[in-house]
Amino acid sequence: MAGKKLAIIILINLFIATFPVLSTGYIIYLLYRTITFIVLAVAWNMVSGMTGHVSLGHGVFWGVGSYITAFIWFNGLNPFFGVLLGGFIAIMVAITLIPVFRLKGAYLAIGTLSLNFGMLSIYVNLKEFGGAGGLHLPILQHADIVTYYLMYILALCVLTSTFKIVHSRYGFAIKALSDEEAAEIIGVDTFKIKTGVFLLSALFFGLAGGVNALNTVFISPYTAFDITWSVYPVFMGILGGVGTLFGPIIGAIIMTLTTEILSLMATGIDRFLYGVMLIILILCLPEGVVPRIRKYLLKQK
Amino acid sequence: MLLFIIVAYLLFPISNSIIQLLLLGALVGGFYALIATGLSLIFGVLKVINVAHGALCILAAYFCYWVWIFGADLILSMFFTMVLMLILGLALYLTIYRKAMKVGIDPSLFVSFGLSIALEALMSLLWGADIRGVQSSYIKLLNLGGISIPFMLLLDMTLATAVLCALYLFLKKTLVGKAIRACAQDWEAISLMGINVKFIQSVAFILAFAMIGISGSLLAATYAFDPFSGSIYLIRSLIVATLAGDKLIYLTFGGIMLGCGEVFVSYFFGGAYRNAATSFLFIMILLIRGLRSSR
Repeated sequence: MAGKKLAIIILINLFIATFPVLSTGYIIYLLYRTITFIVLAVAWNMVSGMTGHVSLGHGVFWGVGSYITAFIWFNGLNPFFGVLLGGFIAIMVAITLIPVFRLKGAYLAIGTLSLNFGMLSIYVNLKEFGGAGGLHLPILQHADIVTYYLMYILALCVLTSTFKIVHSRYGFAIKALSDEEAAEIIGVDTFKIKTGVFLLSALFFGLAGGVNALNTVFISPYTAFDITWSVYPVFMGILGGVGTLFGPIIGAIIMTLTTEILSLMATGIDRFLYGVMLIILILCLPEGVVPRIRKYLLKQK
Repeated sequence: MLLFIIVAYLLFPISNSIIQLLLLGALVGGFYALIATGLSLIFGVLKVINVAHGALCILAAYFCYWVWIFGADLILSMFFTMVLMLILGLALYLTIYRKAMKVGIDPSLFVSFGLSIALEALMSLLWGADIRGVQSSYIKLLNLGGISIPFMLLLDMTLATAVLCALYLFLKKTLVGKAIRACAQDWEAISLMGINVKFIQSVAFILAFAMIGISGSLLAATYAFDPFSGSIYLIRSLIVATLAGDKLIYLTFGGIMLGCGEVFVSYFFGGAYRNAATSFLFIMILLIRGLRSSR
């Protein structure tokens, strides 16, 4: 059974890795976008799957990563260095924001939500970063293929990290007890773990944002700190099932494909339908797709 | 509070400006308090954090704008907007919010969040992303003894005070009002005493939408707005509601403090930082709240 799963995974990976050779253009973009959101959704799920609390603010790390990369690149330095620096600065920002992300429940949600707007306002006022008008970036050779592979590498990293965390001693303890207070009692240092995982997720968001900046010709506070980057991964995680390994992946795939199809139909209506979908989804499937499927499969037995 | 006084004292030489700022802050703050009542009512009675609050205010602003465009006077537009919002409130309650109450506080937040996204997208689809505002004859600058005040703000504050007083009396004196307050405190006990909780909740919800209708129309007349302006008003309402809680008086004071804070920040650091300051002020408040209450 494990062998078959492994084989499938390897096949999928081979396919993804060699795809650019076969075809370019829109399909590459579509896959790129899907992989980007897989990275984001899985990275977000790291934190929320473990803590059970929903953060709506991870997009700020994406935005920071994008902007740092853009800034470095705009000023003539190596953009790849910019991506790494972007990730690093994202971690720094995350460290300062630790108190905010330690809030719980609804407080976390609305607090992190306003972080998006706060960051937006700050960057609108930063003249060195182009202010509200943004920056125009140079064009990278074969940007779509380069960023595709970079994002793919990021995806592999984030999935490996999640896998390792879930199967580590700490992950097991938290999952088995599904109650962090109990986990603390038996000696698991939840604060350190949660902070570490949080910083890691911020890093992934920052790096992904940086890579994405390589793929765009224009960056502005309104694109970099759009709540899309905070909210879509959350939605995908919830859709797929928070706390599961494959949930965010499935959620990301479903959502990206649906959004692309919707945007092909009519401009602007995709965001509206997305909002409606979110409402219907939460009301009908509060736990997500993957747990539902699991329950269904269990019933079959 | 003390910091306030110290700062005011240090700046005594420009005391005229200080008074002007305080007055402006109070006027703006009263308006914020009015906006916040809609949010507070829904949370108090339905235990749902209505993240769509900002977008709904903007929707009300659009309603007011469209009624006004067709020739109605501002006050008349406000009335129509209120009626429209009441109907919308009933519709939303029956379809979405009733179910949202069942799923719990945290998931219900996402329901209202989805609503806010859908609303903003719908508004920008239907009416475009242009900035709009209602121009009315009430827009002029008053000069009272050296202090200039935009008349519109004064009107806002007067209306806000009137509405808040009316709301206060309603909640205090009428049977339904008392039932609403009781529901906010402990709805289980209330239902045991034979009051139809569902009915009270729907009344409170619709009442909140009436407040949103009024706030939105005033907003349309006082400030420029576009489909995405809602978020700032949401954050302001959240600040006031979190700071102040459920009592109307506290809400008013909270609103005034926020208004003063914003005005002072604008004056000393430049208007551009106003929104950033508001957002981070909110986060500070949440953190303090989080530290104070137990885990």
